[in-house]
Amino acid sequence: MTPPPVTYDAAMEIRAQLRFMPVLVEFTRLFFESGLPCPVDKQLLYNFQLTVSEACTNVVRYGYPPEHSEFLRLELTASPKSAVIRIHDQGIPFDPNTAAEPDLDRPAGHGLGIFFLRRLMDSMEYCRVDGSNILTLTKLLA
Amino acid sequence: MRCSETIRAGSSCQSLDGGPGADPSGEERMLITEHLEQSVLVLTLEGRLDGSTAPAFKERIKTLVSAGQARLVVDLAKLQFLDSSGLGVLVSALRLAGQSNGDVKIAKLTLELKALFALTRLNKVFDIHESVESAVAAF
Repeated sequence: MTPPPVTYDAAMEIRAQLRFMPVLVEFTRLFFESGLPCPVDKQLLYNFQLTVSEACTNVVRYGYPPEHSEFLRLELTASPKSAVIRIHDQGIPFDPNTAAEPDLDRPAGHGLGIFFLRRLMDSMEYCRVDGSNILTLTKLLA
Repeated sequence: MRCSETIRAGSSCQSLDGGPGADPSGEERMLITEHLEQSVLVLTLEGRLDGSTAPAFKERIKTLVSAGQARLVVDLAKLQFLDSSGLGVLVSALRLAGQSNGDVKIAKLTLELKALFALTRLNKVFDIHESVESAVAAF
């Protein structure tokens, strides 16, 4: 009988403030560095950290009114086939799939966050459930 | 001539996001070390250039350009993390310096950051060099 595939996961809840972004990014690095069943190269590890930083910074900046930040929840899952980053928040509903692409030939100094999510991950799914935004970003590994 | 100055951003005594309280990490999140080489100011960044530290970096660039120092090299070899907020503030710095007939040149990108600049095509926007000496000499 074939054993079930090994899957690891971890989660963190933290107040949605810019000052805590380094905590989320470091948590992501440590998890994927040790949690993936296969060795992960530095670029892929950086891309996971960047994905978390961009997605969570968007929640902080646009999801909650200033001075009224609530918690966000970051869930990470690693399996031989994929790495999944999921973010829950109770902020303003927003589907990043609806955001326009930046004009890279005329850099504006902003608007690259969602561009990174699209380019660095293989899929980005958004849903709104019981007053929560749930953003799921998946990178296929096999 | 060489002179140097060190600026810390995000230390336990300075909050960058407007809120009170100490940095939970207890450490500086970004360190800027500056030194002058042939009238070009070299800024060496250490730590993180992200949403939490980008405002402090932008303020420093504004101050320098206002004071007439618009020829800048940014050394990123020791930068551990750069995100879109950090890239955005580098683009703003380039614009600010350009308005004063200066420039911002980038030196010593790590492999991860090279990939980021290529993905965003900012490698076509910035003058990027393998060494600080080469960047300074390009002015």
